[in-house]
Amino acid sequence: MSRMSRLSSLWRNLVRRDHVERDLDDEMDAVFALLVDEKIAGGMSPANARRAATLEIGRTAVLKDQVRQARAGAFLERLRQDVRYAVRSLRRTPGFTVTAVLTLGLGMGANITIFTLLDAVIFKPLSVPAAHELVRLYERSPKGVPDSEGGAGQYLSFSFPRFRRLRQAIAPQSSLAASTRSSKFIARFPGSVQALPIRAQLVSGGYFATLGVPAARGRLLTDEDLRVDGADPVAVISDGFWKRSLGSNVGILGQTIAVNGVKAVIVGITRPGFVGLWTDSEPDLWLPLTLQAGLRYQRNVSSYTNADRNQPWTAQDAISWLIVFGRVAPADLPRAAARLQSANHEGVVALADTFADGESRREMAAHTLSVEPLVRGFSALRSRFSQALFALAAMVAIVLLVTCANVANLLLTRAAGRARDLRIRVSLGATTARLLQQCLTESVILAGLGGAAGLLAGAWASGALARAVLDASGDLPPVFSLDIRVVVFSAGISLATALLFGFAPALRVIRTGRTAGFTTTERNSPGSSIMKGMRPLVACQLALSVVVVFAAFLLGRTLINFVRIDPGFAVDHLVSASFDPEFSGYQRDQMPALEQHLLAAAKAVPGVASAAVSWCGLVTNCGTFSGFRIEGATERVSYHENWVSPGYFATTGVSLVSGREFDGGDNQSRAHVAIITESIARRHFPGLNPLGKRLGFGEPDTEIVGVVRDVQSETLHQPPVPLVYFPIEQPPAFRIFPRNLDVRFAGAVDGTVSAIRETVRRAEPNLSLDTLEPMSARIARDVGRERIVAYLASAFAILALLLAALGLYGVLSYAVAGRTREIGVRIALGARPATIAMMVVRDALKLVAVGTLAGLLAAVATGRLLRALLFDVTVSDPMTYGLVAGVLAMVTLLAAYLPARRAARIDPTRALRSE
Amino acid sequence: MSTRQASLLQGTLDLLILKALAADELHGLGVSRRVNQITRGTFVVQPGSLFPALHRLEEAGWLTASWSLSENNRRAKYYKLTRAGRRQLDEETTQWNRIALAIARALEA
Repeated sequence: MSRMSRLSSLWRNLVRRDHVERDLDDEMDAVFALLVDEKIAGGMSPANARRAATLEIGRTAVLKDQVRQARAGAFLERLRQDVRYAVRSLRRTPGFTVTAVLTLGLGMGANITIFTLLDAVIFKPLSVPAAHELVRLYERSPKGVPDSEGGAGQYLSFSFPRFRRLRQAIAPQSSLAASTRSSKFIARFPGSVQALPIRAQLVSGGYFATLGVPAARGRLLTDEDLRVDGADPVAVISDGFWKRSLGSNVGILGQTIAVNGVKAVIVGITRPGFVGLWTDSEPDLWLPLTLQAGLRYQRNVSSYTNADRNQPWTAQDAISWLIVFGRVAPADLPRAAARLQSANHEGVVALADTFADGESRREMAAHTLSVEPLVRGFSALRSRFSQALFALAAMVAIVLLVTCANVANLLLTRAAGRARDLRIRVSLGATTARLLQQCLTESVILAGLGGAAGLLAGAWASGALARAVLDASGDLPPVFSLDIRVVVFSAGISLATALLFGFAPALRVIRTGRTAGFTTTERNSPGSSIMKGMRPLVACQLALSVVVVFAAFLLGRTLINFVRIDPGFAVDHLVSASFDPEFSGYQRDQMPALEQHLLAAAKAVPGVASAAVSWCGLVTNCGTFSGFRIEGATERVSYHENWVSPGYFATTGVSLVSGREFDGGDNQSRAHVAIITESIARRHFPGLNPLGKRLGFGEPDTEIVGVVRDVQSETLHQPPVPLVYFPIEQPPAFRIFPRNLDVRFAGAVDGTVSAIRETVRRAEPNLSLDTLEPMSARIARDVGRERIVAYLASAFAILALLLAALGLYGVLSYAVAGRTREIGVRIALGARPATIAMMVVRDALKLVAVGTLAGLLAAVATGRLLRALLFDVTVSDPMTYGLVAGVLAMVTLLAAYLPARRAARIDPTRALRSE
Repeated sequence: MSTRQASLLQGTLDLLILKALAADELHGLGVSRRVNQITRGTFVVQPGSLFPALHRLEEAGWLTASWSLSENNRRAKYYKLTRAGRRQLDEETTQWNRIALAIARALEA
């Protein structure tokens, strides 16, 4: 009865503040009424009685305030007592405290790490005011080639004329802005010869205004800055660039920076933390998009056949290159979306009218506009890492549960030593609620310390992981920084963890203190009750760690399977360089000379067997494609394409199936030729000899002279891509030039890479290389996600196993200690030490068998969640079960070794005397 | 009531309230009347000190409160000693006796 009322009082105070208030009001009213009654009974008139009562009680508001303060004071006093008591008792058992805090720190650190990454990559809104008002626009096509950003059938980019049309449709209530992705440029400051590689975005005048961000210094871009006539171009620099590369020099405002030769005046600096729409990279510079032609910006673009990419893009409706986003008040959204859709439809129809081909016309006119929230911005990491992060989050959550079970076990073990202390407190009248509060205070302190340790570990680990994933060595994008969200999460899981590991042991401990009366020989009763709590906990730990170990095995085997893939080209002894000559300032007529110089430079390096240049490098996510007319086919077929120099196939190790490689004779003055992959040959010329057949962009005018093997030229994650190869000396009407150099060599990798870098620098000092690395490094990056996920999963699995083994060790040791007397008797009666040891091991195996079985069932049930991350491994592979069971058996033997040995060595005479 | 009342020593009020509730549960005003009665009118506890003290003692776990009907059929909040409260009363009584004895001796000397 009294226990219940204490519990409810605690509940009232902590949770139901206004209930307490109402109760206080009621009480004051009741006291007043009683006082009036009393005075009337004493002979006063009702009016006088009321007056006298009012006088005696004083102002009730003041009284209530005094009561409130008294209550709060008492509550704080009690909390202070509990904290003091908890700190004292934690200090008294430093071994326990350190173990618990470290365990919790690891468990929570893992969770905080993954949460920080999950939040940065998936959840965190853009750091702009009212990010929920932002929307992004994209087009859907009933059938279409996927855009690199949007996924199948979505086109994320728009032409500049279309953007203007759309902006007009919803101005002035809502605003629309356009931006390109970050792209590499070469910048120079006047008076300095040093070329600075920078990342810049071309944006519309309303870009900053739409995002709602002010300048930290100077001003940001406006529509005025987009005018191409007369006025000098302007640029805005990012806070990061200003601090990193310009030494926070305030004098930079008003100075000129030459970007790809275009001079622009720096007019402003953005605020710290502002990175634009892409959360995982920080641009250095923003430029008006009207500078596209002047900058020779040619990236991230798709165009229709009647476009001329060499003319300014701002004037052409057939070139899509701008990401369009807007700010629309939520109430206006339906109306704004409808207006945008109808404006877009008009635009689509107008564009379709310029197409000659009826099929293309119909397809274009069927495009529809979608308006979607952009609250979290774009992230290149999001689509690649979402599933992996969720899977890892599930794993660390399980690890935390295992951790909780461990700490709960520690608490139970320790409680056995505190039973006497508890019984005294109970007999002194401490209520269950009071004791519970005290125990939980201790748990919260432990979890708080663990959480703080975890926060430190998490901040470090998430930074290190983000750096590994982004391939960055310096500053990370601000989205990865430790912020209030992470701190709140850490505090939240600390509290939840405290309740999780603290509640059940506290109740059990209190019950132990209550039920057992005062006894001096107290070894048996609390011990056995506590054992009852420990065994299921350990079984749960084992089961949970089996789930994590199982997942780690699947992910590890996935990584191994990826590493073993034969991509179709020879990875070893191949070095590749990627570059963009246009960005380094090369004109079109310089390209053939560039090719010759590069090839000559590479071949001059000792040990180099062959070298070749190409438009698309292997595993560079290059992927250009066109529609082809192929002899015998009635419809246009879309295929990936590449332009390569003679010797390309020999250099990369792509094997020639039939026909010939390109040779020096395949140039502009000769008939155009092509090489196709086997899959194209099989599809279009089944049972026929493809050599001598023809294909082409407009008409089938190019002769097929060779067939090569299909290779995984883009990524190991996709099946081989059917490809059409052309000689780079026979370029098409659109821009094609060397952007990749492949070199096959014999000898040491490091020496070859630096030798190639040196000779290329000497031969073409103006060419800046984006990358120069062994092909194996490119492949390693391609399976970077699998590698990092497999490593993390293994780390978590080891952590979970370690904790479970500790738990098992604890329960076995405790059991042996509790049975010392019994074991002593057995030994005295002639049991052999081996039999005693086996008894302990059997005990362990029983727990492990239950745990493993339950864990495997759970693992199979949840394994499906991993499917998207797996390659060539199935959840139901018996080999994985066997491996997991084997690992668990090993852990069992390790954990059981010491307790078993101790049991076998029990001295019967001492064991019997000790009781 | 018109006579000058002794001011309460720090901590004495709690002891008196616990003592007042030792025999029976009482509502707030009842506690005040009982203190007045057992101290033979020396102490009159004003609501301004009584109610904060009652709530403080309740928060400390020495009292519990519940609503019931008073002798003249009015709803009132009744206070009752808990086990811990009774224990506290014993302790404070012992303490008080020791102090009182010591002071009495000191004054006699």
